[in-house]
Amino acid sequence: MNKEILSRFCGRIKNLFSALEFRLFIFFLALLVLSGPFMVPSAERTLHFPFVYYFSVWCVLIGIIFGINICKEESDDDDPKK
Amino acid sequence: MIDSSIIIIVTALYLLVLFAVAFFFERKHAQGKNYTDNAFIYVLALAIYCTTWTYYGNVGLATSNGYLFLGVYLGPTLFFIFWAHIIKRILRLKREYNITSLAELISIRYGKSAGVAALVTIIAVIGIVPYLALQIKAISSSFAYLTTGSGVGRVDTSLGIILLSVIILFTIVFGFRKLDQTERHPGVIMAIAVQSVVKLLAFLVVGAFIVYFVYDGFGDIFSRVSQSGSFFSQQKANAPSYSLFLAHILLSMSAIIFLPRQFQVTVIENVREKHLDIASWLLPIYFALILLFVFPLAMAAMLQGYDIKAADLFMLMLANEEGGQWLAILVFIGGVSAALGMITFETIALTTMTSNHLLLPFLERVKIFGFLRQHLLSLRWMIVTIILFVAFIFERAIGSSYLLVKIGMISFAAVFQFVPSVIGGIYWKKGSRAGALLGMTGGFLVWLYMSVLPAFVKSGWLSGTILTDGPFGVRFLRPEHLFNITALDPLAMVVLFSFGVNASLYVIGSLLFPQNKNEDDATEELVRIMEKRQAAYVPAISQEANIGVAEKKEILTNIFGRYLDRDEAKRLSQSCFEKSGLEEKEIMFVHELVTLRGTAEKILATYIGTPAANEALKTGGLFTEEDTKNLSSVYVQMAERLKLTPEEFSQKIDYYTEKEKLFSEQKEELEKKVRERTKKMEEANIELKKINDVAIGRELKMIELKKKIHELEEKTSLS
Repeated sequence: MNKEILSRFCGRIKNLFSALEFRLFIFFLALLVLSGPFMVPSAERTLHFPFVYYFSVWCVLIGIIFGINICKEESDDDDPKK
Repeated sequence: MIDSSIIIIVTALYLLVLFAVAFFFERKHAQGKNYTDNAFIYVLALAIYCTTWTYYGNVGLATSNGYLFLGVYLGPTLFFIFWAHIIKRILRLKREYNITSLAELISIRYGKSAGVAALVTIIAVIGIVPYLALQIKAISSSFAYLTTGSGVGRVDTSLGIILLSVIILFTIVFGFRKLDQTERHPGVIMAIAVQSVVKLLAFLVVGAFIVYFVYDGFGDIFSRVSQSGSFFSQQKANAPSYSLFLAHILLSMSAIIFLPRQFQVTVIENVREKHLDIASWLLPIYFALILLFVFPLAMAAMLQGYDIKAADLFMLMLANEEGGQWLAILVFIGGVSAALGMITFETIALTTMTSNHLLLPFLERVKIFGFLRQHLLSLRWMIVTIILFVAFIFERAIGSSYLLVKIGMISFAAVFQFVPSVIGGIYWKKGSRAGALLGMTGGFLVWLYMSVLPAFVKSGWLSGTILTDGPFGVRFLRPEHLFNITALDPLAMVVLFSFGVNASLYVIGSLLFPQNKNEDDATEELVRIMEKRQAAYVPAISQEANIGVAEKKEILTNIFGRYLDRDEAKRLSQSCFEKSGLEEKEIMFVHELVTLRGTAEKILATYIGTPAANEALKTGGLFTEEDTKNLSSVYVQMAERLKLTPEEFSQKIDYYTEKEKLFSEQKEELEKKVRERTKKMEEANIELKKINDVAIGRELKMIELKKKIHELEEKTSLS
């Protein structure tokens, strides 16, 4: 009986996750990363830390977009319609 | 202080260069050479996102609120990572419907509703015109600082009007020379690209000069500021909350596509979808470069002991006092570039929306003004002038008010109200016109109450008790702390509540007032285009061709003639028949009339927008009662032939659509395999050819050797 309830519950959770867009989760993860400097206690914050942090995250984000586009271009090359 | 005549001459020369660039590339475009078909030009045009608010305002914001300004640029970067595909879908819709503005896009989704288009236009105009005033103010105050040395001065009214007239002339000449608004504006785009390069260069030159020549690099500035302590402690005291930072990110994510100027450049001026892929990483790089020296410049200004009240002019002050007049003039020209680009495209977008979705419906309804429809182009020139003059009057009247200083984020929050209707429209098939109207109206009212009302109070135009005690003394209705929520920043509250109300009303409205037939058809068509599906399967039906082509041509010419001169109307009418494959026919079938109507709507929409075109064709008498009866009979025949109820008929169409989609996918898969095999065969062929060449070469060599042997044998026999 418990097993059945558990499997039904797991099934519902799975459906819920597949219904929501995966990218939304990643987006919230990105927002969490951007909250980094706010997590550091005020007394421990240096003047330049937020800037170094955000510019680094920014470079990573630009790198990700660049990577996505390179991958897309490669898959477009395989596209017979092109 | 710099002699004002020097600044005026340099600015005039710069404007002349921009006119020349725009004129040159317009001419080249007319000759068939499209220089805007280039991803780098597209990116530079998209950089109109960086207005004077970025150029001057960021240094000021960094002085008071540290790294808060970064949120405005991280938002678009996140948007490009997660939701760039939304823009691609919109680009497909633009090509299909000849979309000319954001209002039109939203209205098309909701059954080409004129009401939705009008509401979007009203929100955009109210939210954006003060933002235009801010740009004028930036030019005005920077000119005043350079010529008088005052941080709170502004340019003389007569000089301001001269500059404004030049901007109006530029916008009309290169933005509204023709009535057709789906045509791109290559001249303006190239001029904007030049402006984007100039403002970036100016910022980098000043930044590098201050950081590396006045100081000894980034480390030197940071250590000096840390030692002085006062700036650091002020930064800590004014550190933004995460809710405010998050609000900046979310608002800028929507602004990068829903600000009318951004929509105009991103969608209407886009030449290829592929350019968007490059822009998605190159535009954030542009942002990163233009922001690189913002914080060091803010720190340098504080080290110089400048008054924080003139924070928006710090860059100009640093350039003037440390680098001399020519560096200051370079900064000023960069500022002019940042303002001009924004003003030009924002005005083009707002004028198109106002003329198509507010003015035209008014002219259609009030018969006495009906004759003005023939003068649409002149009316657009008038709207350009009115919009820019209203912005100028705003600048003169409330230039130093709190409202105008904070208008950047207030404008972003205004266009944020389009998000639920656009995103809901794309992802939720049940989203209806009533839902969109209710949602946007609700969100807009919340925006007015929580964002504009406090700005009015802080500008001193309304009593301050509304903010402290709430309206009529009801504290939990205080605009900035609705329901006594004090944990969130007021801007975060605006985002949360306006979005919450907007999205809730959108859903409730859509469920309570479902789509009518018009909307239903529009949604189905929209989804089909966005998903690149083919039109649904429809069985062939026997019918009689009995509709006179000449008669319909005359009607169509009359419909076009309501907005265009007779010759142009005739030409367009003829073009509709040609595009529908009816040019050589004398009579046509009713389904051909449907095709003709669709073509005519698309063509007319390029001049007056889709909702107005739809309305004009509806009321223009293209379909007679008999035609409508015939069309119904065709559908009845279809249902009869298939022996189906209307529900089953609809399901059947869905079934065939799905089937076609599946076939199309399988076809693609097969084509891919064939392509792979062909590639392998070609490789094998090349290999075979190589072997063959070697074998033939050997054969030839042997023949040659045999010849030689034979000759030798002959020689030996002779000897």
